[in-house]
Amino acid sequence: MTRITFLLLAALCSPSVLATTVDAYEADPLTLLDEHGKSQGRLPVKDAPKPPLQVLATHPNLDQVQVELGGRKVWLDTMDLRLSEGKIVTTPCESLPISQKADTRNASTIGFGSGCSKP
Amino acid sequence: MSAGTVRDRALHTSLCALACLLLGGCGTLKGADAAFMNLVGPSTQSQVKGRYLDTADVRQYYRLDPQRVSAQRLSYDGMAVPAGEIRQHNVVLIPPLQTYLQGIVGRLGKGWPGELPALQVKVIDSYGFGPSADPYGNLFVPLGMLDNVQSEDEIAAMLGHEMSHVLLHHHDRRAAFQQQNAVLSNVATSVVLATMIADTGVNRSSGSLKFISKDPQGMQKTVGNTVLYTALVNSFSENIWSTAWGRSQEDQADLLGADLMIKAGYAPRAASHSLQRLSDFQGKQKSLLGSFATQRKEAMQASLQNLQVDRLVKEVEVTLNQGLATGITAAGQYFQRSHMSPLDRDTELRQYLQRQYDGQRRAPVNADYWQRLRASSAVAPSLQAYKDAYAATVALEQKKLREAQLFSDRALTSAVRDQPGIRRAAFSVDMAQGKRREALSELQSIKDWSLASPELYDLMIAHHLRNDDPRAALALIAQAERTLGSEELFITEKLAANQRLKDDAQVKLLARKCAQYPTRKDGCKKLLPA
Repeated sequence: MTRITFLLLAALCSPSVLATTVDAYEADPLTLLDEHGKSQGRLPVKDAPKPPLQVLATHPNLDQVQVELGGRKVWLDTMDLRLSEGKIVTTPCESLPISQKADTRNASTIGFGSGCSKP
Repeated sequence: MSAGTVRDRALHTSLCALACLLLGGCGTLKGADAAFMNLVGPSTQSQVKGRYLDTADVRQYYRLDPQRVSAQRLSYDGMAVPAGEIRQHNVVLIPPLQTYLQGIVGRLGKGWPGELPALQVKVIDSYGFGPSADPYGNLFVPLGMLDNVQSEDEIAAMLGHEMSHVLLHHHDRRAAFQQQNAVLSNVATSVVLATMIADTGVNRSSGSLKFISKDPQGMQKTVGNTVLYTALVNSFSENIWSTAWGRSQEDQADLLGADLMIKAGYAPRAASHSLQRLSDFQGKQKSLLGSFATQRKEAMQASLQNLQVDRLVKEVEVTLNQGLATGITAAGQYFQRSHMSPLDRDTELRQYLQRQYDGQRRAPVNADYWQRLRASSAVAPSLQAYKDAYAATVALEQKKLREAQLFSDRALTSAVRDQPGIRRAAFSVDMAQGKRREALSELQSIKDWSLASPELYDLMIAHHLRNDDPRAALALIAQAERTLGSEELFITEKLAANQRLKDDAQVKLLARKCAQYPTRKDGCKKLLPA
């Protein structure tokens, strides 16, 4: 086994992937995909196992995750799912210095979302 | 159809009819009725039939009102922007980035079927995540957003959302509260009375007039929620209403933003990505409405004890009181439901996309171009300089002076070293070490004051006045007025500078103007002889 293969396997089996779960279905029916993102059919949510489901592998470029449905490994689009680990920011609001948390805006602006609760 | 559904529809109809009646002819209050329904009814997104962009609600904004545009331009160019509405941050200027972001807005704007107002992207020196928009068409993009988004599609999603606030005139909400608070309370009061009348019968069998509820159980929920909300609006004013209204505006901007980005060929899943990042940025917080309702619950119950009008309405009041007492728990769900959270916005948006854009919603994002631009030699070093300046500020707050100095020094080697944000950080580092002269020279090194925040102007103008250099102070005040569009902001300092120059005509003129600004007039009065 080459070193690169070992590293790839290690990455796939890393705790972050294994710790991720599908917490909810956000579409009905679900579209079943192959590893290249090609549709393999649809599955009504009523026929799918109840979440949470373990994510077995991820395909970040295609925004897909692999799960096991009824004993079969399939790929699902993350748009159809609520994952335990979503997209993140490197500077969460709580970690901003006080001066940035206060982060005054002009009173007339409407923002994408409010800031964090001040300590 | 269940009795509950019929009742909900009847309530919806009566609320809308009443709200429309009461709000008729009141342009600034457009959307207040929808906001009410957003609180007591289903979500904005789930009520939209078809694509939001094509709905009658949006079509009314296709045509620009020339008077409105001209009034806004006059305000912005004519120094009449209220002090509270002026941007607070330093602006960042990295030309290739500016062109790129403005290009995205242009591309999104082509999908707007109506007339497009002037929209101007301004990158601001802030490590918050969310962009914002003002009524003058300025779209503020914080560096923290650019640091975190991973694709052009994500940027388009967030800019599309902000553009939508401008296109849908959402800033009128503020004006509405300033001008029409009393009308809002009347709407709420009328709504609850109408609900009560619709659901209340009169029992004369006992020989005396007695009001009864036709459907006590069914009415409990609707009345409970309506009464609770009305009590909040009446007793506790605009706070909760404004929040609810803002919530419904965010939903609308999510919908229109998604429509615009899809028309421009962007991948709508990026809107979901940005909402997930917003959720991560904000962390888990209690619902604003939830905590507000909890705080006010006891106050509300106390206020109810004072609801004594006369004997005739007493039975109604009893029902009202019971409705409120029993409804508090049930109504709490409306205030505490996580509809406020970015993740719920995300869920609602995904359902909308599945309904309206099933073919497009799986389109992949294209991360390449944005990541190449961000890493390019024309952009990356400048972004890094701002990160270093930010790190210097963080280090200062942690009392790590040496570290702060190193970060600041590094920022000062960049191409953007003479921009206000970088010099502001250096100023703070020098001041923390007691180097006042060096700190001042940091401010004097700022090349383009059109990028500066009011705070920086304030620092420098105060320095000129302290140094008895009123001409320099006036020159900078003139620059601040041009840049920030407000004469109000530094009118006190302007008066002081003219006094030093013994320009009596100007002093008289400024004193008259100053008296018109409630938050400034006292400051000016102190300067003037009794």
